Amino acid sequence: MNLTKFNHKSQYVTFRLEDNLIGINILNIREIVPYIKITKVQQAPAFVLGLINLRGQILIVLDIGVLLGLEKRRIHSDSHIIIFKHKDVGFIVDQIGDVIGIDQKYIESIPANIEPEIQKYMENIIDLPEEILMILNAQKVLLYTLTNDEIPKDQL
Amino acid sequence: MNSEEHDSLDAMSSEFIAEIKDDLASLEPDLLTMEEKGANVDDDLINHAFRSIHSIKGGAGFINFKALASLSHAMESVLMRVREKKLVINSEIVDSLLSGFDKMKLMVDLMGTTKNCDYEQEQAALRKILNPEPLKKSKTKSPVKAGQPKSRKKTKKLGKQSKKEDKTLQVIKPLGNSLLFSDKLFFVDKKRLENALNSQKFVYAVFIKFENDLLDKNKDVDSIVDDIKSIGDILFSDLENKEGKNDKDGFFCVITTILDLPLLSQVLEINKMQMTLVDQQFTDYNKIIQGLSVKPGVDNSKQKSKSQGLEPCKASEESIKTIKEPTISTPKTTQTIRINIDLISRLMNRAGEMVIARKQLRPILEQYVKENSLALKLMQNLDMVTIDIQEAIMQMRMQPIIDLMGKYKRVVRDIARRISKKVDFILDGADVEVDRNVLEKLANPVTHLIRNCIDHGIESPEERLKLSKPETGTINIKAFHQGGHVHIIISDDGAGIDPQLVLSKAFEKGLVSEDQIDKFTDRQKIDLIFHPGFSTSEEITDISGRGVGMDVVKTNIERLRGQIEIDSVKGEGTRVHLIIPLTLAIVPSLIVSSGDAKFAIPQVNIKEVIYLEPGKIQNRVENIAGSEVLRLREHLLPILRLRNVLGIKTYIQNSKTSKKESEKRKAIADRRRETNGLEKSEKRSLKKDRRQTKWDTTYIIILKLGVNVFGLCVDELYDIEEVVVEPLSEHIKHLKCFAGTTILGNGDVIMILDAPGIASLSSLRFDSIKSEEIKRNKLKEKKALGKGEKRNLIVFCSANKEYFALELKSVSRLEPINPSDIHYTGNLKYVEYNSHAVLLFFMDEFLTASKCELNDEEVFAIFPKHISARVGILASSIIDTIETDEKLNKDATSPEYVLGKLFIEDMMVQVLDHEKFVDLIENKAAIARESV
Repeated sequence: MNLTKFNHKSQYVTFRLEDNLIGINILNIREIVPYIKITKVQQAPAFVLGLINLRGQILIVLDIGVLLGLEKRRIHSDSHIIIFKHKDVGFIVDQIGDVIGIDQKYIESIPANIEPEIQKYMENIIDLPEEILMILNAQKVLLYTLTNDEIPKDQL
Repeated sequence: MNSEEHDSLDAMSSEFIAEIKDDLASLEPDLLTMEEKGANVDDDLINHAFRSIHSIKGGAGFINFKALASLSHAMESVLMRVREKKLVINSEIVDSLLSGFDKMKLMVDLMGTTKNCDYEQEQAALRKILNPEPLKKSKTKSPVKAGQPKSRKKTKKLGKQSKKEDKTLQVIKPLGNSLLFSDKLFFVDKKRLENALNSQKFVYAVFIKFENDLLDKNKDVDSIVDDIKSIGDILFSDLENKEGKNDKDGFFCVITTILDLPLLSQVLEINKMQMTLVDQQFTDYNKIIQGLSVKPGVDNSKQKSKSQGLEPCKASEESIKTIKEPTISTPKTTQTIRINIDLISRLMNRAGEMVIARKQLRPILEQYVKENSLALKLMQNLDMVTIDIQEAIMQMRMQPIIDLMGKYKRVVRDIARRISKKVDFILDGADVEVDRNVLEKLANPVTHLIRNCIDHGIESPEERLKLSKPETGTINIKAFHQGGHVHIIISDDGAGIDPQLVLSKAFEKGLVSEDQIDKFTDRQKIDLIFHPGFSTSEEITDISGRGVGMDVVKTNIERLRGQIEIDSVKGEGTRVHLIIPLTLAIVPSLIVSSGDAKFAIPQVNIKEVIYLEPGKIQNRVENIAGSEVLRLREHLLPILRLRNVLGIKTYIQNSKTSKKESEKRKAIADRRRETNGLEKSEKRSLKKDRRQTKWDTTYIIILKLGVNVFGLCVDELYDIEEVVVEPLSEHIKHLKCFAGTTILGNGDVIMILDAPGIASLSSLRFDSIKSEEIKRNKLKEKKALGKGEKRNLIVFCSANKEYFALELKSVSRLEPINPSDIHYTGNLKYVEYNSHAVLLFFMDEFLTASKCELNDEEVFAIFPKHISARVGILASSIIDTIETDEKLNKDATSPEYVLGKLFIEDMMVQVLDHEKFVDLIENKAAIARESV
């Protein structure tokens, strides 16, 4: 697979949660920042890590790992926060990977045996030479984490 | 309104729509004022309304919004008539105009959707005003019937031009039994009329129908005019007014001829029914002035008088000028621009950020102060500028209260008309400015209160007359600023609230129990209307009576961090007093911490803060069935621990291992018991360390929720900060215990606690009648016994031996100040506090007091609450805080700002009236700033 030729390919920001390699379409990402002090929000759902002050703007930081059935994140030196583009929402990751472009033909559908609870956040699976890359659907992540039924207006 | 009409709806037209909306908004109050003034309406007002509607028409035309354009055209025509004094405003006309206005508003709102707006009805109503004659020519073929629709309007002729005109004009009022001509008045040139009469001519009024008389006979207007001229002369016609208007089915004219009626009818081929002899039916102009309907336009008379070689009278010219001018004049230019509210929010965020950045820069700059004196100057400059920017941006969000209250004029009018009551609406303080968000959230509760006034308060006109009250009731809204809050007082002169009725209704509905009944004061009885589910109305009307009202009003006002109070005298009226913060965006809050989490508690919710010293906790906190209560001045208050409410894990530093252990004790009262169980040596070491660990002391924040009070235990108190409230992110919006988030000065994000949310989260059930109410009753009893109210006063000394006192609750903090820390600009004194420059005044600078001077001794700054500016008062010493229920001595010599005098030990203390005192300080501060 040619990873350098980006034409007509979707580009994904990749990151790691524990050992899992996960990607999100780069068009859904505003920026990636190193870990900033997070203020916990008591009584919030488990996937809400807390609030950060990003250059004077208050953003909420989610722990996507919790949604995917992983342990709660522990903060370490490699921790980064990825900020979604259209909402004041970010999520914490254990490690930032490369931005990669992937030809549509490498995209596989989601294996049927993945739990529906986790499947609903996923877009598809990419079988990279070394490992599997799980592509998340940013829109669904935002949608299903909202407690109310509001559907994000922006087309993510 | 067809969809293709919106084809041109693009980015540009949104500008027009915004403008149309603005124009619409300014139109409504104009229309209402017109109705109010009736015949005395002034030109400016009409012109203003006319301009609004004209620019709506223009805008609508530009974006090809035909429906809107044509409706606005109809309204414009009516206003034009009014402007030309051909129509006198009355309720019917205003009704039509308002319904047209409503439809236009709807059209604009529906714009871009596929929904169509039927505006025929409104337009027809407007046309009817314009032309009381038949509108749809095809529908009524019979000429007699066609003449039937009559308007009841009697137009008053106004202005000076009329009086002068009577020299040249003669009024003809046809008396014929034909309905066609009744109520018609024609204005003819007196000289020509006299000439005609002198030559034995007949004078006829003729109605010529475009369709029957002209079209059907292949004639046009010119040919009929020629026909008439061949047999006589035309003294008057209203043809000009109708030219180009297809919807008119005819025109009137007054002709003189020697022919008799049947002959005239034959010659002109016009039905006899359409003409009448008006020979002797002249009415004196001056008499008619009081009540006439249709007459020639001013232009007409001018032209005529000119063409007749008569000297155009001056007054007439002048009035023409004043009428004509406004059409040409451009809309009044305002010094404002439209800014997207998002942009302002962003600006505000950035300004906040700048303040934080400045704060971080400060310690770095301070290092250079000694090397380079410029650094200090720069720093102060930066301080000033950033604060100024922040304040200016805050002001950008302010809107005058009229933007909201203006709408109520219409609401009052409509409701009152619907239930046939007569109500006047008076708004006082229209220019008081409030934050936009606050204003928006005020709309609902205030509407409800006004509805209540009309529906329950104001009696029907008959009833009012019986009670020898003026027939028309009055609703008065008064808005003003005081002590950093906006006060809105809504009062009516209606029936008032009957406390006994409220109580019995509340009892009926099971809101109070039998044994409580006797304990209520009138005020408390009235306050029962705030109970959910309460309604005194016997029947549910479409206006009110469902019993959800006042409860919701109260909740809404409290959500705004405001307060609501009701005063009512049965038979005399009701007064609702709302106290609303100026802005929702900036809230003075107390920063507290529990465990390692910090929180902000809005100051308005805080009644007091209790500090429990080590060893005293057990004496004052009781454990009742697992719940803790605090003994406070003979009362028991429920207390909650913040960490338990929010589930904060707290750690305790073990003195031996210096390891963090999670705090297991659930209640403060458990503490002693736990240490009791420890080994003796350990207990001692713990005891020794207790003074250092924060677990020894406890702060209890007493929070108030209306009349209910509860305590919230926190671990640490920090400062009071003015925090900028940010709304909660969507993901955590459902958390009741938080009112918002904010960024502290050091850049930390913290949550703002919501007192009602915390109470409901921990399921506090208040028996609102008890504790607090009983306390109030006691106070009242004491008052009755000649004792004063119980006051907690802070007594301070100004100058040498002059003592003043402020109520403790109205002081936000005290600060010892070293005179060398005071900075001067001119004769103003500043001290730095929290990196803000705080202005300081001596007492003698703004009220009558002995001269104060600074020497080397330490002084104290007192910072009163509810003060918008950063201002403090200097006192030479703080004497003490005292609790007293002595009655204050008030005599004529006491100035306004002094509540009264008290003698405490050997001191004569002047107790200050907080509100007036604060006003004095604010005035002084404003003057001082201006002078700089």
